[in-house]
Amino acid sequence: MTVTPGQASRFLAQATFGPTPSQIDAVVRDGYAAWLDAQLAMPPSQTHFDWLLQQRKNTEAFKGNGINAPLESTLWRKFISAEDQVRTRVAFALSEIFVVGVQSITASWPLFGAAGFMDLLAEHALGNYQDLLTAVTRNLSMGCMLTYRGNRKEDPKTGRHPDENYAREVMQLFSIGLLELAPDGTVRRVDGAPVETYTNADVQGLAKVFTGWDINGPETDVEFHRRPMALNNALHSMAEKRFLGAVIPPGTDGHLSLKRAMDVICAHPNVGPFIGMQLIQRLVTSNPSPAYVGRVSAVFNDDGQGRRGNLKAVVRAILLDPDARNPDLGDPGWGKVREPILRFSGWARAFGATSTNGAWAMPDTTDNTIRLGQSPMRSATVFNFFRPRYTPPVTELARRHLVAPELQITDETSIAGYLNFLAIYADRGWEDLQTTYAPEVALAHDPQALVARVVLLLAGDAFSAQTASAIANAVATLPASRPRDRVRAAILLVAATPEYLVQK
Amino acid sequence: MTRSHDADRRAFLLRACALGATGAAAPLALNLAALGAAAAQSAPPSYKALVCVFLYGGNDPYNTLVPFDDAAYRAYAAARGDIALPRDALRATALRGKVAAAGGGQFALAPALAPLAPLYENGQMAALLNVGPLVVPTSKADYISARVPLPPKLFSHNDQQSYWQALAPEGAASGWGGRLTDLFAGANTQRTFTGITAGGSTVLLAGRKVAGYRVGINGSTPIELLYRDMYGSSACTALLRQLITQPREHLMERELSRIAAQSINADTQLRAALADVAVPGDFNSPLAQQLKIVARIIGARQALGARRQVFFVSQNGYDNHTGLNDTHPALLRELGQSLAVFQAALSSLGVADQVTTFTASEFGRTLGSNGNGSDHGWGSHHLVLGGAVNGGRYYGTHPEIALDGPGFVDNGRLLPTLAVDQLGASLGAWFGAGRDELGMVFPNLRNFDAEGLNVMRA
Repeated sequence: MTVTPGQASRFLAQATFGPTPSQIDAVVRDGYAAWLDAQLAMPPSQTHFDWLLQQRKNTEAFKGNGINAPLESTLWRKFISAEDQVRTRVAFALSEIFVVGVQSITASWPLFGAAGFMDLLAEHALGNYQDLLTAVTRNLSMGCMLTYRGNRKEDPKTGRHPDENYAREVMQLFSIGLLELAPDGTVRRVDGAPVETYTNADVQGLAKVFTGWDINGPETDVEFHRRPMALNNALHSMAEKRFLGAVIPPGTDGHLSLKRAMDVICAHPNVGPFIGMQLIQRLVTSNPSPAYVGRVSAVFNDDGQGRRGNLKAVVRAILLDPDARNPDLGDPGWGKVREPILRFSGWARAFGATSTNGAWAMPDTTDNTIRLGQSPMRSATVFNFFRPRYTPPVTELARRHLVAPELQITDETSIAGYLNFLAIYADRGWEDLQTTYAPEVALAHDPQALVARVVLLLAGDAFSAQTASAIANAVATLPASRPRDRVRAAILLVAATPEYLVQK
Repeated sequence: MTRSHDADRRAFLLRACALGATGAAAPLALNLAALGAAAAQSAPPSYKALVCVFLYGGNDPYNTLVPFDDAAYRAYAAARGDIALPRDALRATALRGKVAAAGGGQFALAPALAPLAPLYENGQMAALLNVGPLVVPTSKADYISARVPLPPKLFSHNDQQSYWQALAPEGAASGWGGRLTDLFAGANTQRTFTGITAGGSTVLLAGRKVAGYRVGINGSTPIELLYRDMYGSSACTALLRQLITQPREHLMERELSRIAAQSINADTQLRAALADVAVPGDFNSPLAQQLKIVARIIGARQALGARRQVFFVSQNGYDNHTGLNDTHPALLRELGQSLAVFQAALSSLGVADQVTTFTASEFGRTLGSNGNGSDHGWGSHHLVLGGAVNGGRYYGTHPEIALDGPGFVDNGRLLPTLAVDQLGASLGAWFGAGRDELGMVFPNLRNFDAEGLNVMRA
C-alpha cells in the first residue's frame, strides 16, 4: 500500500504535534505501521523536569506560584522538537483527560509539579492503564488539584467526613464516566433509560480510600514532586469501604485499599470505551463511529496477548484504524476542530521554527483576544478546556447529535484572538522561536507551488484545490521581489481557513 | 383558563416566529424592515434585562448566608466544626429584613458580602433559601426510595451547571435564558445582542435560533488583519475576509465561518455603540470587569436596538473542598463589591428598576466539614438584586439544621424546597412572559405551585 505525501501529512497531524517535511518523507517511505512502530519503540526523551533542572529553574525565584514561565518553555520545547512525538502527543492528550492546572498546585515550585505530572503521563502513555491511573492517583500535583493531599479519615465525634473530590472525579472523568456504556461507546439503556454508574454512596465509600496521603519529604529541593505521595496510616480510614459493588473490609491499610480500589475501577467494563473514545477524539475525530470505538475498546480489553489496558496497543489501534486512515473526506461530520495549541505547534514544525538560543521563551497563551485562548497545563478546572460531549447549541451539529468539543472555546472573541496571534507569529516568530522559511522562500517565485507546499504541510490532502488556487492568485498580487512576504501571506491565508482549522 | 391558555399560546407562537419568518436568504434591507414590523407588533413597552452571575464550582451556602439566631447558629457551628464562621464576625451583616424566614430564623451575610447589606436593607436585594434542581417537590423519603423523578446526575459539576442553566444535564440543546428571549424575538432589532456572555461558554443563552454572543471585558475583539492590507495587498485581505466567513458544507467549518462572520459584524456595531458609553465606579476585579461591560452594553441599548436582554457573567473558584475559609471570603468579597458597584452603575444609568441580577451555582455544599472544606451538595441559597426586586426579605424555607435531619440527604446535603424552575419563572414573569409561556420555558414548573414564589414587585 503506497502512502501519498498528503495522506502522510494528515496521519502526522493525528499522531504528532504536526507534520514536518522529513517526517512526511519517512511515512511515505516506510508506511504508516512501520513508522508508527518505530515511534512506539522509542524511549522517552529528556523529561521536562530534567530540562528545568538543567536550566537551573529550581531556585527561590520560582518557588512560589505566579512565576511559572519556564513551564511554557519546556512544554512547547517538547511539543515542537521532541523526537518521540507520538509519546509526547499522547501524553498531551492524556493531560486533557487527567487534568492538572499549574495554578492549583499548592506546593513549592509548582512548575516542577506540572512538569513532573506531564512527564508521568509521558512515562505511562504507552504503558498500562492501571499503572497510569495508580501513578496519577499517587501524584502530588493531582493530590493538590483534587484536594486529597492531607485528606483525613472520618471523625464520628465531630461529624467530619473525608474529602470526596477525588473519589468522584476519578470515576467521572478518569475511568468510567457517569453512564454505563456498551463496548462500542454507546450509552446502555435499560427499559429505555440510561443507567448511572455510581451513586453518591459510592463516592462516600471510595472517598475513604483516598485518606492519609500527602507530600513525601521536605520541600527543601524540588525532588518531592517526583516522589509518589506517602501514606500516613494513622490518618487513613480503617472503616469498611463500599463502592461499585466492592467491599474493602474494615482494618485494611492505605496501600492495600488503594490497590483494591484501582483493581475495581480498572476492571469496570466502561474503561475501554470511555478512555478509548476520548483518545480517539483527542487524536483523530470528534464523532467516531461506534464500530471504530468498539475496535479500540476491544484492544483495550485484550491486546491480543490477553493483557488488559495496554495503551501502546490502544494508540496503535486508534491511529491505524481503517476509519482513521481512509475516511470519507467528503463526510461533513468527519474530523475535529484543531485545538489552538496544535495550530501553533503545527506551524512551528511545518516551517522548522526552533529556538535560536535554547530558551524557548513561549508565553502563557491563555488570553483569548491576542493569543490562543488555551495554554498547556493551564486548564482552570479538572473539566479541561472543553468537554468531550460538547455540542454547540442551535447548530446543524446539534440537530444531528454530533459533538465538537473544541468549539466550546471557539467564540466571537477567541476566533479573532487566534487570527491576531497568527498574524504575529507567522510574520515574525515569537521571541527566540524563529524560522527563515528558507524552503518556502525558494518557491515564492511560483505562488501555486508555494501554496501547494504550505497546504501539504498544514492540511495534508484535505484542502480544496479551489481554495488553494484562490490563495495562490492573491499571493501573486504581492511582488516577487518580496518573497518572504509572499510566504507569510500564504501561511496566514491557509492557516485562517475553516478547511485547515478542521483536522480531517 | 382555557381561553387564556390559547391566547397565551398564540402570542407565544407569534412572537417566536417573528424573526424566523423573515428567512435567512432575504436581502438585508427587507430583513430589517420585517424586523422593525415585528418589533412594532409585539414590542414590550420598556427595556428589561436579566443578569446571571454564575458561581462556578458550587458555592458553599452556609458560609454565604449564615444562620444567625441563637439556636440555629449553635446547630450550624456544631455541624460545621472548623469551617464555621465565628458568630461575632457576623453581627455587622446580620440581616434585619422586613420579613423573617418562614419558620422564623435570622440569617447574616458572610462578612465579606458587607457591601450588599445596604441593598438588602433598602429593599433592593432578596435572599432565596434552599433553591436547587428539582423535577417535582421531593421529600427525603422520596429521594431515598427514588420513588419520584430526580434531576439526573446530581452532584456532578458540569451536569448541574447545565441543569441550572437549561433544566437538563450537559448536552442540553437550549437554555432557559435563550428560551425566554425567544418569546421576545421581535423586541430587539438584532438577535445577536439579545443573549450576551462576558463569562465564557454557557448554554443558558441558547434559544431556538441563536446561542449567546461572547464579549470580552472591553467588548468585542477586532480581527486586526482585516483593518490593514496584508503586506500591502488588498487582494489578500479581501480573500481572507471571504475565506473565513464563506458558508461551508462541513458542519464544523460551517460553525467556524458563522462565528467569524458574526464576530466581524457584531464588532463593527458594538464598537460604534459603545464608543461614547462610560459607566461610573471602580470595576477592578475580574468579575467586576465583566459586569462593567454588561453595564456599558446596557448603556448602549438604544443604539443596539435592544429591549430585552439576558447577560451571563461568571466567577470561578467556588469548589472549595479544601481551604474553604482561606479562599471563600476572598471570592465573596469580589462578588459583593462587584455586585454593589454594578447596582450603583445601573442607578446612574437610570435603569436600576429595569435590570434584575441573580446568582446561580451548580450546587450547594455539604453542611458538615471534610476537615477544612465542604463537598458537593444540592440545594443552596441565592441572591436576587435590582430595583424591581421585592427585597429586604427572605424567600423559601430552611429546615432544622442537622446532618441527618429531614431536610438533608446523604449526610448533610440540603434537599431543595424551591425549584430552579420557580426562581426562573418569577424572573421570567417580570420579564414579561405569560404563565403558559413560562411553562414552555421551564419544563418542571407545572409540578410546582405557580404562585409559590414571586420575588419581584408587581
